[in-house]
Amino acid sequence: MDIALTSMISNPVLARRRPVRNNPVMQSTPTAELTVLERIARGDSAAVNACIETYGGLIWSIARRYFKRPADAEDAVQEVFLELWKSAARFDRTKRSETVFVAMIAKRRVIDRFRAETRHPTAEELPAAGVENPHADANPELCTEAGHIRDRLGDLRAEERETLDLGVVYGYSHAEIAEKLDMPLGTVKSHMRRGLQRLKGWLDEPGTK
Amino acid sequence: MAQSDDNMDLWLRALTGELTAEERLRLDRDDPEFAELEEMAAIYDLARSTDVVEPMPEHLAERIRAQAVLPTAEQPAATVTQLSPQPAAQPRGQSAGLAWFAAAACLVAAIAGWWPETPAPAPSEPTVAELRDQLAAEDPEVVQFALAGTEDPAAAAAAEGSVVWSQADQRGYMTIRNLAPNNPDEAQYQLWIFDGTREKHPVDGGVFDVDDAGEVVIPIDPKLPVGQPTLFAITVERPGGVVVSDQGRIAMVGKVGA
Repeated sequence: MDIALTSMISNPVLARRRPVRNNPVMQSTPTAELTVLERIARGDSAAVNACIETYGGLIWSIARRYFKRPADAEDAVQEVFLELWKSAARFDRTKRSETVFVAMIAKRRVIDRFRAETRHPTAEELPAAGVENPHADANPELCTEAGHIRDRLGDLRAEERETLDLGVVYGYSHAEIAEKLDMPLGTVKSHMRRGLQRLKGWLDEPGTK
Repeated sequence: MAQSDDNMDLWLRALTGELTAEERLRLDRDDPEFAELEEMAAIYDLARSTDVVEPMPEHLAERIRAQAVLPTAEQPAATVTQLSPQPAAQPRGQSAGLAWFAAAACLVAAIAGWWPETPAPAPSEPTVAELRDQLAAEDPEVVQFALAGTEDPAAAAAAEGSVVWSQADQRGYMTIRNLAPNNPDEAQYQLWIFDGTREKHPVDGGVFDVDDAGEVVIPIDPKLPVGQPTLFAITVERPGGVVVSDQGRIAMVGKVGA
């Protein structure tokens, strides 16, 4: 069992908060209106296919960004889905969208595995060609929050954007970012923090949620 | 997001996977302030990357369906039920937790008297060379230019090559011939893209190896957006590459538009 999984199981805080089966939204929502993860949490086996179809590309793309060797990415994706099956009951639609919840789980698992196993990808592991997001038209809500942020990316300071790109999107460590951008470590963290706070401020603006 | 500096440092390092085992135990992922930070990071990632989403390979989707187990609504979380009649395909190097779930799924299938079938072979993926040709054919704005060897010993055997680059897609391919094979334990080649819109360092295009096959095709995946590519250079670096090159050994260069 890897250390991340061990940590989750042995973490008394997580263990204490796990029984989200009491999620009142989920309990009061008619089955037909449940989201994919809410159906998973209810043990609806048909939702497994829906979950793979809806989020498979997203999770696979995140994993490929870190594990460019397909076999490694496949292992990571399987871990993410295992985590999703276990965590589905913790999804709360009143807090965040399902897509963001899935992306949080996926990034957490992929980054931890990536950091434990590898450094940055070698060239033969670099990604194959991508395709346009197949979900964009089918599910306009998939990236609602992301859409708002994408519209505001130009308002981020260049340093905030660069540190977030390297750290959040590509998984560089803070020290690597500091060296790459030729700035002190503390400054890297400040830019990342301010950048994330700026995103939060934009999403809190009226009309964005 | 009002938080102590200590917590913020822990949280920021959690986002980039830099926590020690002890720190992971200490981290409360359900802390509302950390959850908010992690949520913003996920949204930023989605905003920056969801234009390009690769479909998940079908054989992987099949494997995930076959291994899907989850708590039922009425039972305790530790109880699992198999969701698919398909057997688990042979996993490749997963964690012990993953193997346990696969074994549990197989056991249920065996008890039911159902024996695994051989999974269908995965569809063959296009080669890198085919992807390069596809990019060149599909994007009318793609630029192509030559790479030339320098006087570095790595290029002594008349190294030459070419680059196909799509500015719109921010990706491309290098075709390289006669560059000296490297021992990845000692050194690796690294691509740098000089960007006319950046004043400081060139953009890291990734590290790669060359074997003795004579010709290699290397996908290009810059780690930062490239605004105005002007020059592509290949350096010889330590294994794993460097974040900033001293450009002590430049093996090949190619000028965009030349």
